Amino acid sequence: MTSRFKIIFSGPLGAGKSAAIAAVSEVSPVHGEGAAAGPSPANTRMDMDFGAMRLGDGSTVHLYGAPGREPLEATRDILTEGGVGLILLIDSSRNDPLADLAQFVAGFERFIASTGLVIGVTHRDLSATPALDAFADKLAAAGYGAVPVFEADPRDRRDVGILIEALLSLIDPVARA
Amino acid sequence: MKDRRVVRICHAGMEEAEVRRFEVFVRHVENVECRLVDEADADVAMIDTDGELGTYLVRAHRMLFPGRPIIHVSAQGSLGRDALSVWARKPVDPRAFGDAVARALTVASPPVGHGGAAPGAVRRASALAQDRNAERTANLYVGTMSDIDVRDPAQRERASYHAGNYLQGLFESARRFARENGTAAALLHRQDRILTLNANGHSYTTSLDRRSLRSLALIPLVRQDFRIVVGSAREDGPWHPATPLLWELALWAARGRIPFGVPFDAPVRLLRWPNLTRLALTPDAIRIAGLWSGHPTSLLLSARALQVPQRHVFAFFSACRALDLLRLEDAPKNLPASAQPHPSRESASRGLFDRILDKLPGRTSGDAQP
Repeated sequence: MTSRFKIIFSGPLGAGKSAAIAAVSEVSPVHGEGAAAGPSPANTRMDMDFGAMRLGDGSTVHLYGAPGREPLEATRDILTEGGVGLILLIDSSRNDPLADLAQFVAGFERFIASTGLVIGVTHRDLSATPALDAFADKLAAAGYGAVPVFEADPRDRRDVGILIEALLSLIDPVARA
Repeated sequence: MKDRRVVRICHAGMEEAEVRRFEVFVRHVENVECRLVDEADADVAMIDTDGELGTYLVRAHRMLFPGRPIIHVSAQGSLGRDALSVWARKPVDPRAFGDAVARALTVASPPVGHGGAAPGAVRRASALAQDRNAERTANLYVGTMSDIDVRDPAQRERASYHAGNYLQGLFESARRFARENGTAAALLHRQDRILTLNANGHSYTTSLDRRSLRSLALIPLVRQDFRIVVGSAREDGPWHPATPLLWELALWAARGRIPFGVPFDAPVRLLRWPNLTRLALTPDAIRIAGLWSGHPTSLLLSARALQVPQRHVFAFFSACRALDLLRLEDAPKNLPASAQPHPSRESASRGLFDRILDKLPGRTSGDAQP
């Protein structure tokens, strides 16, 4: 039986969602357009990445990466249904990474409120600003508390692993006890 | 040709050029075949104790590898007063060094009978030694202290440290000096520059290699040997970010302890997560951070709730405190630790999370890097 759990990766185009999923996926990651319900045919398809981690008991955790542009509310709800949390990748080399952060967090507000949020700031080799503190401060000011904000190379399996582990520890820190 | 015994040797405090010369030198050592290896794998350590920091290098190495013989290479005599210290007088020629290695091996493992140990026993002993060394290396950041009973003042004291007695405290003082004076700050050991911080305290440069820096950071320093002076921002680099160093200095100084005066029963709230993808990751750090960011929990209860050794919690606390990432909330009055609020142990998703965590690379439980 397939697990209904999934981890959502989101963020602007080029932030590294596909690479991050590929870094930890144990099946060949798939990139393409996925069908989703929407008010009109033009809005029923969106870019998606998909990967999976197979667990010891045979179940699977799905890794969804979508989309580079802000999804419609209906598609977002479908995408996030059953999700254990959101890993938001923010490209620090874009024009206004803090605005990107605000936009995506607002877009997933309801989902984040009931699950968890971790920020991976990517492309630090191209731009070392804004400082990580600026991302953390913006989230704290918006009432999200102490959100994990890490530098991340989405191609690096260890980095992506830490993002996932932080997400899970945020939701349930006692999990390993 | 008779096979020569292979001896694995590590060094401490040598600059890169010296290491290269030493590599050539040991090829000419008679009677034994010396191989330079990482410190975790060595049979014998070789330390030049004539340098300004020789004492610290020896003491730090002894702390990390208490059963390993150390060859003190010096013109002045051995600094060691223990049975595992051997002196090789400078200038050392290959023959004298070979003799020193032979003596070091003797003090490390006195021969059993005339025939020596059986080969199988030697292999097993070697494997055990390797395991022990690996364990010591893994525990570098969190020490080996067993859980304490906080009702015992002596045990509380054993689990505490004064940051000001360590390189951590000097580094923090130098950073304050730089910021208050708006100038670079240099930390000197007698006349030698240990490191320089830039005017805003965000970056540093040092002439020491990482291992020497670590040796200095591990043990209490003689404060009067050190001073902070105005430095030059034009020091030759490379310049490094100061935060990862301060994080490590705190871990090395604390080694699983907490700063003196921190109450064991005050709930800890994480105000900001450390950048754990780029800082030294200590065992269980991510889980502890997860707990403290959502559920302010005392040090003792954190260890109990997560079922981890107290030293893992204490180490992470000390490092986070050095970076000013957390806040202590008021300790509950007349409330036993067991009555403090803590996250539920029941969770429908727990089994799933455990299985996901099993699949992740570089699990942080016991994942400390040297």
